[in-house]
Amino acid sequence: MSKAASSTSVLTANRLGDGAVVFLDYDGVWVEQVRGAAIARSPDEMRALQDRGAHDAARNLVVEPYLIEMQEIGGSFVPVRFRERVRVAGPSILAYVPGYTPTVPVVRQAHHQGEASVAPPELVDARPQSVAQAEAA
Amino acid sequence: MYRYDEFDAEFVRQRVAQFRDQVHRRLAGELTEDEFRPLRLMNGVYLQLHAYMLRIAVPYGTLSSRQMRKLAHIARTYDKGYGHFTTRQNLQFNWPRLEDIPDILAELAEIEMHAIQTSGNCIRNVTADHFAGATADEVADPRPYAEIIRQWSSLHPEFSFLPRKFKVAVTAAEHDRAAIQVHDIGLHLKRIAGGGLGFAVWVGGGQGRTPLLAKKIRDDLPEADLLSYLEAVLRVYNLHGRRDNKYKARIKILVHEVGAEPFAAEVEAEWRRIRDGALKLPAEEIGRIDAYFAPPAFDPRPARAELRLPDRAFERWAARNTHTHKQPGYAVVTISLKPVGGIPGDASAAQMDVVADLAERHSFDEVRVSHEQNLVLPHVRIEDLHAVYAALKAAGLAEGNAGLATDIIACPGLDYCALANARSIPISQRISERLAPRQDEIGDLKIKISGCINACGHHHVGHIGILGVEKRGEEHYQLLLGGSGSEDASLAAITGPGFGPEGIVDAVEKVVDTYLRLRTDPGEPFLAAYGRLGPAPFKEALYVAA
Repeated sequence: MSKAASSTSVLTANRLGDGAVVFLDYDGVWVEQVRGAAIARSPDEMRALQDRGAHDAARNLVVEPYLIEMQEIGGSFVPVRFRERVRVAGPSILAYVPGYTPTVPVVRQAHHQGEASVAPPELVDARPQSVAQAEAA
Repeated sequence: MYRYDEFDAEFVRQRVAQFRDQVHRRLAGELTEDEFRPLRLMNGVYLQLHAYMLRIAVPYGTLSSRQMRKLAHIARTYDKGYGHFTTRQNLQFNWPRLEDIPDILAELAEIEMHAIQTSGNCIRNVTADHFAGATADEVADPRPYAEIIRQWSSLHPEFSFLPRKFKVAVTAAEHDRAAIQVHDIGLHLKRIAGGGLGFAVWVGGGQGRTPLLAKKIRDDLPEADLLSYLEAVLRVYNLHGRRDNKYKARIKILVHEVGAEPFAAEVEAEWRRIRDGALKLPAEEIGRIDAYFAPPAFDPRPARAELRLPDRAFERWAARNTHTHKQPGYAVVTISLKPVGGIPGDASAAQMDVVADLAERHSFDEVRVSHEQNLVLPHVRIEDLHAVYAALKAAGLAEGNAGLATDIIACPGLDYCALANARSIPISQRISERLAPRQDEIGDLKIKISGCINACGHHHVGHIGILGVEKRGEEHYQLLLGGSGSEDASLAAITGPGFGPEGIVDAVEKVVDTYLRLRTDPGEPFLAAYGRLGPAPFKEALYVAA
């Protein structure tokens, strides 16, 4: 797992069964869109994400979880490194691939038994205050 | 073509069953990723930037129509409709689900293919001249020897955990199309003293972060001694190769540090001990394997004196994409997987089916994969060339650019690869589009692009090489000039400061413009001009001129 980033980060991994790139959301669910990813803004929050990633890797839900450093541009969060921007967006050349046919992702997490008896580490809710307060209201 | 015997078939079948069980245990949580990773890698399964990737071995780049159709079927059924032919004559699928891979391997086993030893620190798929068995300039078909090496090296108990991966390439022509001098072992099949067949043995070549050209340590190895000599080389490497630092673990580092002569002396000492043992190749066994590669039943009718040229586009394609066959009346056809602005090495399932049909109808059921990421129909009657061209054109496969500036090698780069630092494919696309209008004027030019220092795109041996790096989190590209992977092998040199993604395309064009301006005549190849002029005028164009 990568070192904790200094600013804001999201946690990514590959789903075990099909290898799809996934991101951990605020509910502890691995989702395919970075838009819903939980954003960690402090070392404690990053550790919480990492702990959850290690837990879910041990349960065989995902493979090789690591933090991606993000930066806010124009109100949206995008990865700092170009490499991670490609990971988030997918290959840049799919429009040129001969015969390319996007397939519907199949979620088979239910097939993976893992260590269900171990409670997952709690996620720190690092949503921006305005979002958290609005949902609470 | 070689056909599996009972041992081969049972071995591959058992391996599929074994891996199916391992995948099942992984998905059930009985194996951790740390436990599973080496098992999946032994079966060619990588975890890349976006998904799993399955690398399938194409031994010495030879496929039958049936095998090609099965690859098309797998692309449609288990992947996203296409495959990627690699610089090691293999095929990669970029999107397989782990849970489907045992089924894919079972389908491959049906047509005598597998993914074993396409990863890991073992002897990898043996590569060969993609024109082998067809070209007029070889002394014999080198593929029987590649097959003998494949059988010897498959699950070789002593060499399954080498210090690092190990790549062997074989050619039988003076013009080296297999890049043997940048392989761990390069073998040149030739006539030796006494008139028999034997090998020049080159050891310690490779690209990657420390590019080195191989050293010839023997020039007259009798064919009967091939395996014992290879075993001796591997033993010396296995004994002395570094295991403490993966970046210094390849045999090239050992040969470089020890010196070619002391290394060869140790190999010879070991070889003398074992050369008359079990690995001695009886002539009957060589003959038995050789029979699988017997020339097809060529039509003995003489070719028409003159090839009809129905259109200019065909004429241009035939001039660029055919090669002289050893059998009069036949030609070797290169099917370019480099459409202008396209993705080097990619083919759709439908295109694979077209190639399989053409091979069946016009090329004695054979297809080759070249390390330059093209396909080859090795045995096409000259009279059938136009029909082949028409079918290729309908499938979008009739680019007449073999060996030209748009016939670019590019690794998958950051668009797919977890190790990459920068994208290779989009750079190749932009260069292809930029140079396409002038490619006939430019003539032969090898441009090779890698997205990281591992050099899968062979940038060290490009006439023009490009290496993608990461600089402050962004893509950046170094430019190299003067490399060759052929019999005149040389390593390209970095020109100077690198360029951004747009700048590198301009930089390549400046190099080409400089070459066109300063070459003595259109017949002076790029490497000859670069050798004559040196790097100075190119650097001036890149860094000094406004």
